[in-house]
Amino acid sequence: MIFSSTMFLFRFLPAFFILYFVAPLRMKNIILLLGSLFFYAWGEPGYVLLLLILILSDYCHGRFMGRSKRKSTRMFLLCTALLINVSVFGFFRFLDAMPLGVCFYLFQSMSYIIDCYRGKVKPQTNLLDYAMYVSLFAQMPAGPIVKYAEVEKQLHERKPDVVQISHGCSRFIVGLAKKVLLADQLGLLWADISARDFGELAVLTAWLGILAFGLQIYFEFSGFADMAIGLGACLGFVFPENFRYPYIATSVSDFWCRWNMTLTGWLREYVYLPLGGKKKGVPRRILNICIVWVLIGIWHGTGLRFVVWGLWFAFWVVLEKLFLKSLLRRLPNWFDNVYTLFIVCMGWVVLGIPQWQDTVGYFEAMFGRNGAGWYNREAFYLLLEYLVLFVVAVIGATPLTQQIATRLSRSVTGFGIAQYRVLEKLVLALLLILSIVYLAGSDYQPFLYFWY
Amino acid sequence: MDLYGEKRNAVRTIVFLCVIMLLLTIVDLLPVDEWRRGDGADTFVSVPKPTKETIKDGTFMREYESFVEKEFVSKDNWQALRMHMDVWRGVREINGVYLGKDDYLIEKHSEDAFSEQNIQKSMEAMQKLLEEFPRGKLMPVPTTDNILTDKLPAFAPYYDQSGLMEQIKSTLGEQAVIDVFDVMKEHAEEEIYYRTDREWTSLGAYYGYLEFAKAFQLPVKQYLKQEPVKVSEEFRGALYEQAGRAVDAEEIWMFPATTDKRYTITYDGTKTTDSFYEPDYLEGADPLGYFLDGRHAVTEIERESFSEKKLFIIKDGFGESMIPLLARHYKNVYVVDLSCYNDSLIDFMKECDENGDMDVLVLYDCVTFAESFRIP
Repeated sequence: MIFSSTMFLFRFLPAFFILYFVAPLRMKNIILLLGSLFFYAWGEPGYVLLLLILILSDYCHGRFMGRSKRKSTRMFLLCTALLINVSVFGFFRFLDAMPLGVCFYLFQSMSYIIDCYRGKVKPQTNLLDYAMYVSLFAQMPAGPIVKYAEVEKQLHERKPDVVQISHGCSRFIVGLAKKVLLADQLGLLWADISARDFGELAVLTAWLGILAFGLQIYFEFSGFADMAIGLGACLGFVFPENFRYPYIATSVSDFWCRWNMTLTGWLREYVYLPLGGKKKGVPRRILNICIVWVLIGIWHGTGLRFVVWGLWFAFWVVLEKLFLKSLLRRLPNWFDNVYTLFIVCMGWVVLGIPQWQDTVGYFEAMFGRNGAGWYNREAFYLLLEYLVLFVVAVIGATPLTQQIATRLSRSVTGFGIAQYRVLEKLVLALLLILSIVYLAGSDYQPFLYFWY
Repeated sequence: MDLYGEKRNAVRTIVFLCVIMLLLTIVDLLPVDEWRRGDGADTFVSVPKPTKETIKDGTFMREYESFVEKEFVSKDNWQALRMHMDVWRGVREINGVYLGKDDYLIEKHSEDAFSEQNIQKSMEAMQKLLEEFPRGKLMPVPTTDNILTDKLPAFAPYYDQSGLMEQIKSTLGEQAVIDVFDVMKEHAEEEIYYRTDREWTSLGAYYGYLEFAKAFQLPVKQYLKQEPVKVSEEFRGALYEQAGRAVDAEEIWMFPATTDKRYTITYDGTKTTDSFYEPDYLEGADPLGYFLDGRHAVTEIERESFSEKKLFIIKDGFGESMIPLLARHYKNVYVVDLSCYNDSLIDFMKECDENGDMDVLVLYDCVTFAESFRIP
């Protein structure tokens, strides 16, 4: 059951929220836990046991760690807990059969264990609260990865006020619209183009395809993050942001500070910095960067191409750290932007096409090496058909709409405020209804499987 | 303290959105079948029942989820709305049908249909037929997209069938092919194809007939001299169904000179009549069945005449409306529709050809010919 399904929107969501808000305060966490377990069991009934075992194991490790004073014992506990989590991750990764959400809850539990070891957080004594944190359905399908330290207090003391809830609702709807109206539709174009014979793709068609794919990934992933943050806000949680307009980045490093920020933040805190970060000399720093991006690659999927995909970015990040950044700084901003987009698009080709020989074929098409020419009827036809969608998507990928909304909301005159409030509701209702039209009016849901 | 009414506004937003969601949820949960089904849905999936096993292996969840999805309240209307929005945002093709200019629905033909292998097989079948009947001729009629190119959506790709035509000519020889490309192109401004169907109109069939008569050296009957008769203005063809797109209905015409009662028409050896036209079809699901009673494996047409000439037509669901035009030149016309004929064709043809001078016409649209001309 993904968020953008009629099952979730018209069965689970109303039932859950009615129960949750009717329940007395002390029951709310239990309802939340049961709801999350139900959500998880619905999609992966076999794995709910695994989830419970992992929760219990990490909880016990945390408790023992809290009690023991000896450093060696704590170290030992940390190692066993990490070993268990990492091997579960490795096992599913190796089999290429990652069940829903495992990536996310493993990384969350690891953040908890490591922070316990470091003394950054107090080990959770309430098993229910801990289980609720790990299994929380809101960020289960696609993040963001919420570090335990970020929500420690909120596990107990959440008092969502109506303003927070209404923001949550609008955030959820925006995310839903991103997923259903943009990602899924652009996905159709990519599905169409990537199923063709790459030997006959014109340059324009190949670029349309990869741009559609890049936008699809962005809107799918950030749409899910918005929905998660919105649901969290309705429940009283403040989840961290996961995307900050990555496509306006001016360097590859900048891109990764804006893309899937909770994953890169996690790797930075628990891998890059412990390995010495940039403090141990240039060669060591390069190695650390490579390790982090290989892990980013592996986190995304099974297979060599994900590793290659990670290393491709590592290569450019290293170059930037060495000299490219100072060079880019002297060039106009738009050039930096184009450069970044170019590198990122190359990466999407590797990520988007499963077979190596096809990847090569697609690259050839993008640079006109397949002899199919720059453009043809088909390319223009597809361009016209998707033009509106591309324009909306490109505008949506920049901070423009957000800026307009912010400016309107800052209005101080009574009339301005009233105007904004009416407009806000209308836009939200429109987005919601349009999303439902597209959800209910289709028989098929494109789905980027490899995030899971 | 709620200085700017911020809280009140937040409550309003929440209530407004919740009302939308809850209303839809409640309506969707109501067990009223008619509401749920919308207009056209004919398959009603019943609510899946959970059992211990199906919950354990997750099949119940999948079934229930797909039930909620498929049976969502008035699914049809959502689908129709979605299509409107798709078209509005720039989609120019639904279900393999181009939404062309001036309300033309034009079937899109994928290049796979024209695989060299298929074409080769069709050619071999035709060559085999020509060996037995050297007087045979093939009339491959181009599909709408190749003639009404200016009605296609801007830049819409289509497979140019003129190359196929050249290939056919060079393989079978010029004399064995009736080329209607030029005449159709020449009259592309007139209504020679239906707007909502892949068939040619009676007028298109007339231009095809002119080429036919030329090829078999028959005296041409000028059917246009008499005003054609409109028999329906409520015609919506197969592409209308396929695309599900609302466009205006169109007209069906026929030539009055084809209605003299000198014919005896026998369908599949059972039903006999004296008219090419069956008005009952016009109100039904297949209005083009008006011409020659829809599809029949074998149709025999006999005419009181002094001529002894015979014509054998092999077709596959295309071109019925031309047959009334050419029947006047023959004593016997045999029509075999290969989409529903399974006996040995050559044997049957030899049986019909007592004098050994029978004319043979293979009447196909280019796509179907390239894809699947095979002799049973």
